Amino acid sequence: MAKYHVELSGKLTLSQQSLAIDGEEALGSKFVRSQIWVNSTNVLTNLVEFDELDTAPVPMLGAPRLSKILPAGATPDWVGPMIVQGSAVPEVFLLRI
Amino acid sequence: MSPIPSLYRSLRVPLSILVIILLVVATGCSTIRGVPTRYQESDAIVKSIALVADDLARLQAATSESERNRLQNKAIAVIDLQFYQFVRELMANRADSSAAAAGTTLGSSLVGVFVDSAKAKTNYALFSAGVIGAFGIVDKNYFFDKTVPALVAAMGAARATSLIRIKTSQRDAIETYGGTAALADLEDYFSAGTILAAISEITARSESDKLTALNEVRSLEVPTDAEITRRKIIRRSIFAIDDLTIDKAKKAIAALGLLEPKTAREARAALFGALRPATPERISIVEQALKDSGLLK
Repeated sequence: MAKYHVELSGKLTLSQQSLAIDGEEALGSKFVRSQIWVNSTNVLTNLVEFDELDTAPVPMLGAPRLSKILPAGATPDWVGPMIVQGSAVPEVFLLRI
Repeated sequence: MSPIPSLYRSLRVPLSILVIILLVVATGCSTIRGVPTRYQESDAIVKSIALVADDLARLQAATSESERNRLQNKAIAVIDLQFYQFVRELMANRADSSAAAAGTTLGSSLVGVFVDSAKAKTNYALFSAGVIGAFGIVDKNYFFDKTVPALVAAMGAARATSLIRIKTSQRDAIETYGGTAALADLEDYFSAGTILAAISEITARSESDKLTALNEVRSLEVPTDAEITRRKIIRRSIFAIDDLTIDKAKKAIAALGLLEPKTAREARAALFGALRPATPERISIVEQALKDSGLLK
């Protein structure tokens, strides 16, 4: 599986960022991780890594939802720092619903 | 005559103003932290928790889940408190060094306002140069300022990853997640909160950064719910391609002007590849090809 990177704007809200990831995964890819990054215009933002899929994952991936809170008993797919609405958030959890 | 009184006379600055400026520089500016007084001192809490080497030895030899988790959580509490204390000191050092340098420069500028003779201004210029020279660490502070938040963020990420693994493992039976593994995870958790771990995390990222720098990175757009649903229908039809429907897939791929796939997997990869980077035009073209070939209703 090939990997690729895309920018996820740090100006967006968490729910907008979740939709952006969902929209990308809907074209046959899977979120791997995000990292804080400075783009070519020197803006602090997020760089997201995706895996290209050529076979449907089993079980099917739930819709990705980013959250600042980890609900009790939930296991996140990923956790790490992100830029959200222009501010650094030290811990963002990617959950599957 | 000593040169110091001479310099002072030529500056002609009232003693009281100098004293105020020095007090501001030496004390006031550097104590603004934006953090209230702690509800309890970290050191006192750590002392009361009283984690001793015997606790860790008992953890290694733990025979029940409750004993293992209790001792591991005790150590986690101490590691957390000491980590947050470490971060506070790291940030305070950063704030102090910046405030001291900024305060001195501000003080020097204020002195300049009260200086009127040409000679005094020359002396003041020398004084100011001396101050700036003495704070040659300003450049170092600049880099410190820029680096500390990145290091703290990297440590936070590494610690969170490690803690999630520990909390997940704590649900396991003692036979699966034994005391030795629990002790090793504690060491890993502690190490995740060090500058060395942060540098390691940042270095690991640099490889993907290098790859990314070579390519133009597109920015993800925020699709509507309806658009996401549409894309998921397309995705489902592509994932459904198998040996029974590969001829239909070949027809769709030929319509897109792509090379004929040999297997169903290659067909799926080619169609997904045709969708990226996602633009409305690409999605519409692939969607139409899938409909024309009978793969999509």
